[in-house]
Amino acid sequence: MLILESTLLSKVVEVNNINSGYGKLQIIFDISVELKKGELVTIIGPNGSGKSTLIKTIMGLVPTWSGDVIINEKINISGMKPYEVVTSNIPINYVPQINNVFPTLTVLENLKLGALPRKNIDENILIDDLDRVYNLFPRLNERYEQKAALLSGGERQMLALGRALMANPDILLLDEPTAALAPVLADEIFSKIIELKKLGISIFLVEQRATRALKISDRGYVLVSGQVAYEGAAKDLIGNERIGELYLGKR
Amino acid sequence: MIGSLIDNLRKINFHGKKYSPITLSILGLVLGGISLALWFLPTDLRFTFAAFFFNVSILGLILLFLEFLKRERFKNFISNLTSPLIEYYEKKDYKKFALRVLFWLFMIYLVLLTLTLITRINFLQQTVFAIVVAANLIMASVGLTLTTRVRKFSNFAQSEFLIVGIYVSVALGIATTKYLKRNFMFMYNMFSIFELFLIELLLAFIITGLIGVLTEILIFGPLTKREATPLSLMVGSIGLGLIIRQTVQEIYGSVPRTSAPKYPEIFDQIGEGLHEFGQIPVIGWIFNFISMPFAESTKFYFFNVGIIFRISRDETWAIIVCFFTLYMLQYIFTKTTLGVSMRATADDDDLAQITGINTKRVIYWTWFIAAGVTGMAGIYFFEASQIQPGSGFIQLLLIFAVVILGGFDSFEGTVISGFIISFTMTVAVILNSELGRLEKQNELLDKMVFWSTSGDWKLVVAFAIIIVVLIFRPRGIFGLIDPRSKL
Repeated sequence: MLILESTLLSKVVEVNNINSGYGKLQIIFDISVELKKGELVTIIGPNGSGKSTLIKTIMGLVPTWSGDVIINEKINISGMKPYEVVTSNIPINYVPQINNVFPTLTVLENLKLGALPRKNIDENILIDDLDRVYNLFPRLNERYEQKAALLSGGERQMLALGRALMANPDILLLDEPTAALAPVLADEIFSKIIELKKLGISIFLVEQRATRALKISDRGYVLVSGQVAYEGAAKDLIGNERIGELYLGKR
Repeated sequence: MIGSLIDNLRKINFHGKKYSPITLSILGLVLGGISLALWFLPTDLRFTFAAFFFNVSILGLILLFLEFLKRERFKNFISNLTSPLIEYYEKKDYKKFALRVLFWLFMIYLVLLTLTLITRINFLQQTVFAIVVAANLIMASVGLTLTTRVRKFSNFAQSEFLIVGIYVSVALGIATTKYLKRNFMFMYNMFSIFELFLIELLLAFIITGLIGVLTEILIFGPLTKREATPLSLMVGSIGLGLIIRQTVQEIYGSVPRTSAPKYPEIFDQIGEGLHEFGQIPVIGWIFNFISMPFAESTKFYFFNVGIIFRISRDETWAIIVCFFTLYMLQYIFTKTTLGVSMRATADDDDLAQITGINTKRVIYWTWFIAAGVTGMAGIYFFEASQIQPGSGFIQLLLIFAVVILGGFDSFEGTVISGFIISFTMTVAVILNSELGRLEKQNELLDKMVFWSTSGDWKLVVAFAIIIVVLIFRPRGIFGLIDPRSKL
């Protein structure tokens, strides 16, 4: 039933047979993944399997060697630079794993920069969006004048998410938002991601905490050395013993 | 500020006894009396002692004055007057802010004047010089701070941008006097009626700025694309510096030239007119102050004792241009999208791209502004000296000193360290000449110490200060604590 439902939905991100890498080192081998409207899809895999590189390739941070990245079933963004992707009315945004805020800018400046892709927006709309972000992450409101370098790890992740939200995206690519966070903080971030999904945002989530991430997601891909090894509904992947043994760290 | 100082002094414990400010002030006055007594002693060292004790006594006098005011009905007045300046500035209470600035300026002036009268070293004049040098240094270094912050390497061609700026002025001088004056008298008159030095500054800004953008397009951009390290980019910038210097030499030759900024003739008339009123005792100061940017040289008198200090038109404009530029830069950085994008690009290039910033365009703008400001700085940096194409390179050391002391990629740090270095150099010059004079007066001392007054100690002292500061703050005064900073 679930699978039938998801096939009917439109594909917001479609990655077709993509190859990419750094310099001459190929990391992504012929990967095809897709994200449907309103879905939360998790990409898991062991260290060095190319999860982050896949996300970066979709965004254009890593040059695409071959293959297509199609947004909303019509726009091909492979070969475009990140700022071109963001500024040409393609509702996609990306939160990197580390270095995801501007440390010497204040929280407010960080958030305002997030709204940069939406050219010439009204001041009132900007304030409304700021309020939306502050409602989601009240702690940012308390520290809006502080420099981002002085925020704690959890607050930084919140600011990074908030910055991406300011661009009003329909598609969000999250690269390990809970990396290097204490379990309590990780839970908080996961609950925020669920809230984002409820807002109708389609999310690609790359995670190390595989079981935890699969529990909140609809579907999942398992990457092994740059190729998709398994894919399917999240429940099936959690149940799959081989994946559990090999990649999810169940002991 | 002084209120808290007094509160701190109240807490001074000395061998278990507490000393009130009044005791301290009286102690200061006693020391001042000793200094006056020393004045009549026929020793060579009396100057030094007298100066020292007099300083202490001035401090005592000020403390006594404030303590008196604090106890009387002026309590509110003085506490308002001494509260931090910034508070009023941030509240946008500019009237009170200006009042406090004037108060502090007056206090500084009083101290400097007394020092001048007692030591016969013209501290007021030296302070004016130091401020002018600081303004020039800040203008010359701020561009380097900008490019270093955004491009993550030290640009050794910075001093060559200065040279380009001053040679733009030279070229304009040749064009107006040799070409326009002979062939197009009308245009020449137009030029001299309009403020020529503003045209000079603008041209220097645009031409040097465009050269800055060109260097990014032709040299640093392609190098970065091929993943050059900061070190190779730095070596590239040394090469660029040589290219610029040699090109300038090919065009203008290595003949020493002078190029003072050219001012319209009406400035002289305004200045002379204002100087007529400048002779009036106290009120004359106001006229003199207004005439500073107009008259070729303005002298300030202390009643009829003599000249206290003089400041030339070039020096005044150097300060004005520096102040204006810093204000504009601050405005750009905090209020405009371009400025915030610049800071974002400096923080994180990749993240800036993801956020939707066209980092390439931002980098071009950074080069344009940084090189342009440096070019503008060149005009006043070299206004009083003989210039050759190679004379910029000598200044590079000083520019780097300012930038390193400030924290290499901090705008505020550059401003403060510019002042620190300029004032240290001035103090070094004063000490050097005083020690030399002292040695000449005393035969015994002359035989024991070999102190040459001609020795140029100012750079030595400046760099010694830098070393001391860097020991305590390895990243400079305002250096970023961010571990991502690769400098």
